[in-house]
Amino acid sequence: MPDLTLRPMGPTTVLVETDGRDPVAVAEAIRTMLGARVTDLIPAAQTVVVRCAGEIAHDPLFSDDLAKVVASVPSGPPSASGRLVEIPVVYDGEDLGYVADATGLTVQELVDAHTAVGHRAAFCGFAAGFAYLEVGDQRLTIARRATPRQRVPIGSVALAAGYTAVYPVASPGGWHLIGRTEARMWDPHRERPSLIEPGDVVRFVAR
Amino acid sequence: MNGIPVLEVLEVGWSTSIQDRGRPGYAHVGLGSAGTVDPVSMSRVNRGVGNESTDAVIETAGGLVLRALSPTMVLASSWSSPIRVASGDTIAIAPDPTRRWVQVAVSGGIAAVPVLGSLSADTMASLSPVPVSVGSVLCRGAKHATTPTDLTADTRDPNGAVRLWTGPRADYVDGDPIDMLMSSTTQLGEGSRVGVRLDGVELIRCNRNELPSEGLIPGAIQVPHDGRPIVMGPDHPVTGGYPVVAIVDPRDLWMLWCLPMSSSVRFIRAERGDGISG
Repeated sequence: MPDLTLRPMGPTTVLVETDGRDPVAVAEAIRTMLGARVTDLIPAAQTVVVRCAGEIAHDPLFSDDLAKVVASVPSGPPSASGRLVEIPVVYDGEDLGYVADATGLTVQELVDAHTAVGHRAAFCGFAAGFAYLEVGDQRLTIARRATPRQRVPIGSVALAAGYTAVYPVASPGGWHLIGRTEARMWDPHRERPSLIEPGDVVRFVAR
Repeated sequence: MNGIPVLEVLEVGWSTSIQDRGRPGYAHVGLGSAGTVDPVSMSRVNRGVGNESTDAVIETAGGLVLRALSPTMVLASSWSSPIRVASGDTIAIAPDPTRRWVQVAVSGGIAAVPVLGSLSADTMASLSPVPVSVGSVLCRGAKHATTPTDLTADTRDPNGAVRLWTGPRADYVDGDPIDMLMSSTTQLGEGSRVGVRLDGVELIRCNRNELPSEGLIPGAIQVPHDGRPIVMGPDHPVTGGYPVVAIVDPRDLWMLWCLPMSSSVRFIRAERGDGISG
């Protein structure tokens, strides 16, 4: 068995360290192979949390099955197998000028860099429908704001910490705001409540 | 399924919402499961008024005042038996000095159109399939009982020991976090459906590195940089960047939402055999 780290989180949950594998691909493999024994899967930056239908987190048979499924996923960067989601953006965010200065780009170069390539959804969190999109262009990597805003408007398109995202609801937030969209990121009455799911690739289109 | 109007909200009280068993299955898109803070209590009050144990109930920290719009039977977890009410009667759920959250069942169960499979409100997601505010009318399902069923007493002790499992990032703090939590005089601090703070214990971060975001579950004990642990509740964010050093056993989690603020909490280490029955 390869060197895999499974960390139980109480009787019904296991945290899997994906160890170089794509967490989205690991979560998909677990859902496919062990779906009947799993109620929820939370892929994140380098881990997948597996919530089980029953107290099996310490069961060696389950650990064994889980380790085999994780090991079956090849290491390395993700394959671009997700859906393509296009999101129209008006680039007039409050921090647009600051981000341009900080990254050494002109505003136009910044917009071009943000729209030229796809950004892959690594995982969701923070709020329902908030997808952490890996920035497709490394020049757009920028640290969070020193002081978070008390209120970021719904639909704000933002950058921070190697990710870009759209705020699905108005909320406090510490990311730099570069634009806004009217796309509805979260709607619990839709068949797919979240416009973006982990593994999807997002293309922003300047309006 | 809109049901029969049965209760009007006259005063909303504190932290009042509709809850059932919640909606697992959406954590990967950022939505937690929500659900009652005390599934056993929810089942008990439901059975006491002739409902299915999983029917939706009202959950409140007290101060809730209702008016009956049609004859029915109501049971709060802080009462010893259900009461029958006639149209126009008012029902007051006073704050209970011994219980922070109480569950209130109405015969027939709260009825409405579920959102993503559940009627539970989720404060983190601003999701509220059944709004509860002054003037809201709550409906019940058609299966309605008129005579109380035999109500078994809730013999669980909310002051009992709370079992802890080692968390995935226990090595982010000095020493064994479970030993630290067992040997400290820990009290419940401020709390909401999102989480409750533990006072009287400080877990010193020995690893101050930022942890890449990872998945959370109810009962996960996170340690921010200030060393004051927070226990995640049903409406917790689905991912977080603070290390999870211990996990409250799911069967004991209700105690941390039942006991009032400033109550002492006694922790013990969970044993592997604990996980088999129960």
